[in-house]
Amino acid sequence: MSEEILQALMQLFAIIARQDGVLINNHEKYVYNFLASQLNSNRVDDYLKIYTDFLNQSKPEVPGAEAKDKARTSMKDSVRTLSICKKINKTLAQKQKTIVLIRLLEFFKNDSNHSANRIAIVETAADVFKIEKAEFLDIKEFVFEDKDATSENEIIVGQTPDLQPACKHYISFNNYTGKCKFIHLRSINIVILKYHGSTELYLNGAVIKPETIYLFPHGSTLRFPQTSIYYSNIISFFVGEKSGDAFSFHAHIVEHKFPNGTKALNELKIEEHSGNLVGIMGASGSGKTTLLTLLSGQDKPSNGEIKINSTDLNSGNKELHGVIGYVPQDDLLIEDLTVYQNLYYNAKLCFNDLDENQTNEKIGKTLSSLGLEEIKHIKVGNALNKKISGGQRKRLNIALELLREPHIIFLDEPTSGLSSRDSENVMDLLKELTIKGKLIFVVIHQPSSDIFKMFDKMLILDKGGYAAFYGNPIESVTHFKKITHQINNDVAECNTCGSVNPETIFNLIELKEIDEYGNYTSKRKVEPKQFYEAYKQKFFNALPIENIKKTIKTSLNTPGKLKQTMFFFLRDLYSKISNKQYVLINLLEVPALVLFLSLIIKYIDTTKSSEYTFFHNYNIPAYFFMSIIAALLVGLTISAEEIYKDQKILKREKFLHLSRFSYLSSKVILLFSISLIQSALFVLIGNLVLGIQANYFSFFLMLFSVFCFSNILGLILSSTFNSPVTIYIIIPLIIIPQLILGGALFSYSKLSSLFGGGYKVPAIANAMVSRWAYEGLAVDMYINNPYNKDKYIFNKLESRFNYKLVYFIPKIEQLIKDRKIGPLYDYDENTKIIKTELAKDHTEAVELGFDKALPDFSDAASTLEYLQELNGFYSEKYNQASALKEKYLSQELKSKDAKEIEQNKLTYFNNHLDEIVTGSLEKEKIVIYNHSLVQVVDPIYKDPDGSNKILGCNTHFLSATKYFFHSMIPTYYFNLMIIWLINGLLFILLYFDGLKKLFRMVK
Amino acid sequence: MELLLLKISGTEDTPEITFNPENNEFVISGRSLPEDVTSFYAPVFDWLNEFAENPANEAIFKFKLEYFNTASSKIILDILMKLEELVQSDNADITVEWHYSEADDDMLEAGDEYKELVELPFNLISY
Repeated sequence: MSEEILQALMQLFAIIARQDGVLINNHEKYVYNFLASQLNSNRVDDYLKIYTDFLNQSKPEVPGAEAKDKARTSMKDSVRTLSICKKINKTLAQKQKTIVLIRLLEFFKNDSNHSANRIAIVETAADVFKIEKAEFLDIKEFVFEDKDATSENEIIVGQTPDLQPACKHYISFNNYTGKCKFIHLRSINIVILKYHGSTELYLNGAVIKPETIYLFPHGSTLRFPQTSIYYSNIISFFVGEKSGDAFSFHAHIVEHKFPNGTKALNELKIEEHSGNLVGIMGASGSGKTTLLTLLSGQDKPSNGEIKINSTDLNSGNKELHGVIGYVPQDDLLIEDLTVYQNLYYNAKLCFNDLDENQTNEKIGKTLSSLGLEEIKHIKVGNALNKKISGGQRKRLNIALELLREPHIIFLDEPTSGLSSRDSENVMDLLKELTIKGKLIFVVIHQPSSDIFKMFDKMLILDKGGYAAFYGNPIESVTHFKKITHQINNDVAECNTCGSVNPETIFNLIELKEIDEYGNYTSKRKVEPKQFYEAYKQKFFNALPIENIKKTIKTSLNTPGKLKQTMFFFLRDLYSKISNKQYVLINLLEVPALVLFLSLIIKYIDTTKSSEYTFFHNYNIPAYFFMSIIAALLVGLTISAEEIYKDQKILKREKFLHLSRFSYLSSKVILLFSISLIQSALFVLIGNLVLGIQANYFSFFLMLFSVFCFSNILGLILSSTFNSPVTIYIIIPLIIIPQLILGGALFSYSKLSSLFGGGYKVPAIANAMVSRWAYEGLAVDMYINNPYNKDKYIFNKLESRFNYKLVYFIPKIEQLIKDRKIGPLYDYDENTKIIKTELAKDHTEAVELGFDKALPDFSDAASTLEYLQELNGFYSEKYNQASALKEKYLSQELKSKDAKEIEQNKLTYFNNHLDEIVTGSLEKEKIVIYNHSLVQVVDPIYKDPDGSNKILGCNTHFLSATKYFFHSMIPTYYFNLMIIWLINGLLFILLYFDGLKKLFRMVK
Repeated sequence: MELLLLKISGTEDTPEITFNPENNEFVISGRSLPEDVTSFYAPVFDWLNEFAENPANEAIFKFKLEYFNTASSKIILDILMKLEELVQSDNADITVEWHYSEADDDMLEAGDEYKELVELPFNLISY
């Protein structure tokens, strides 16, 4: 209660007190007691002074007023009441206003004359507070108790003979003489209580005074001698209709084994129905959690069946979707979202048909029923960096499950790590839910006596997965006392305080034998098997519960795939945005990297020019390659933990049967968006620094594709491996081969022959995205720029004939000379090469108009003569090609001046890239490889060999075009396509979690 | 539409109410301690709702009361708030005059309190 309200209340008290011109002693006493319960003693006097000062303000005298008017409420008091109440209206919620009103009524009660003026003021206050008339009357009656008849919102707790026949609800205790009344105020959903009697009762641990109104909030306990009343006991009278139909739960586990073959659980039966709170207790390692995972359908029992009504839980039947909720021991919260957001996205994913208002209403209800309203806008934080308390986290976890209203809820140690107050709160909430018709299973550890007694049923497991008890919790104590032959074995509770110590159960179970020296041995007095026998006799064939045939209706209505994707995406997005560190690092990482890289390699060749030119920068090809590697690494690291860190949430959402495709799509969309920004930043900054002025877009697109590749790859890793360490160990295994086989660091021709090294791209390198990206970039950068674009075709023609004249014909001549004199025998290696190469060349030459026939290769002389002819033909062709190029160049000179052309060259053309794509640094320009001649020089001008015209993946490295369904397409597009093909395949692998399945098979 | 004339003649315990838009006369006078406040004042609110649709220009509401009880005080506040709403949402030109006897401090202070509670042109006039 704030000071402001307290002051307002003092004024209201004073106004009421000074009516009728008579002061009543009890009033001041009430104010004093009330203040004493709200404030510490030194402040009480301050407020009491406010009260008395106000009280003593004399009533204005109206001269000549009639005597009866003097007994009337002054108008100033009336209007003052209004203004105080209006002020209260502005600051207090309805609930608190009702409490203020209760205090006013209590205060008024001290006036035994029941002055009409006083009650008029209280009534006016109620009117201004907008409290329903009927409720006001209920409260008034409750406070005054002038009538014996009680409203149907009331409960009386007392001795049976005391109870009035008119009372609708009562709880009877025969061993105490007092009477306790509760009333439920429906509109604001609070319960208040009042006690008459002399026995000491404790409300949440504090003694209560008789004849005083107390609030009985959520989770409260009122302790009577030997027994307690819980909020849930009281509210159960008022909850009225149970939600949903009754249902039964039946589990018969014949046996359950762990994957390694050891026995986890022995035969046991559970028969339950809606409305029960069932506890599962047992020593550690007795299989509690295992049982819970079986009952909740996360795992199948090796032998046995679990049925809800008559539907098998493990049949994958759709009608059971959403029936089960599971709250594991650890938190399943999205740390970077607020409490409200956590619930919001959960609601959105569960209920398609709720609009925004309905969703908010639903969340609001859940929040208030769990007492989380005040913290709804606080970020959840993680276990180490706690923003909300442990109890609140637990309640939020429960809230997430409650929100979608499952019929059966399983909770694994919901109270572990909570204070006893919080534990009782949580358990009371669960109890309340069972009253509403849910069935709840709770694995519980060391419950307090109060919690222990809340359970309707208790299943106790013993070491080795043996059941030891199944039934009423209090009976369990006597059961074990009897088996272990204890004295007083029919007494379960403490005679004086009525508490049960659940510890005794385990002390009895684990009772050790004593040796002759009086020391405890390690041998147990009663083995688990003996308890199990007793269990089987007594509980196994317990009354079967009627089997309900009806199907269960669930309110779960998950949205379509597209909507799911949207909500997953938004949830992820907000979670990421709210983590400022993440956003900052993500935005700055790439610019920092690219600045560092580009500034370092901005090389000025001082021997050629004093200024920086793109043309002379030797590092440009390496820069392209490094960009690709950087994209790979950055892309991997941003995605490598994505699914891993969600795995807990995914575990919970398994019960919702949401679409994995939607989930993955949302991840992919989000990561691709980040990658889009990163690749754009990379290209912008890098190109600016290094003066790369052409092909912004194609550079960006290629980098983006590589980013996407590594995003998906990272997702695969994060969904496959179960710890971040493993994930980060795997990353070098992925990156280093990309480095080695990318085609830039090591030339393919100089790789070990084991990996298909030679003058072809090794098959293994074709699996490397770095190779496709690098090749595509290098070729595109070389050809598609303003300087080289038009020249390329002339150079290509020239290169073709130049190769024939300078390398091909001399090589054949060399081969002929290298042989022994004599006919060209077929067995001779060189002869074979000469024959096939000349035949290939001949078809090519004939197409160009060559009319000589192939020699018969009977001797060297005729072949040499043929070569002479061929040389002549190609010389002529070469000259024609040169002439064409000359013509083009002179035309270009006419349209632009020489300086401009030179400038273009320096801006758009990179010398080292030219050296690489024309193979000019290779010593051998033509080599014999695999029984044929291979052109090493000018790969950029060489046509693909056409051995695979459908998908030219095996085309030589740095070819300008590749075959795709019988047509030639530019290498850049071809490679881009290959990368996206790989991306697509990886996504399919990700969707089916292929790698994880593979690992499981290997295991 | 012509606004109806509201005329309630006063008694010992109920005030006289005259709301006449034609000659711009809006007066509540006398003593207000009716048995059932809500039903007594119901016609006033009906009239006010009608008036809200077509408020007269420069209407001056005069409260010339001698005494009102607690329950009436809430009703008076409701009337004032209704007028306030008209001023704020429809820009109606309404003034409230609170008349009090020079000797009656109680009425003056009550008027002062009301003035604080509503945002209206509110004049305290003694007689």
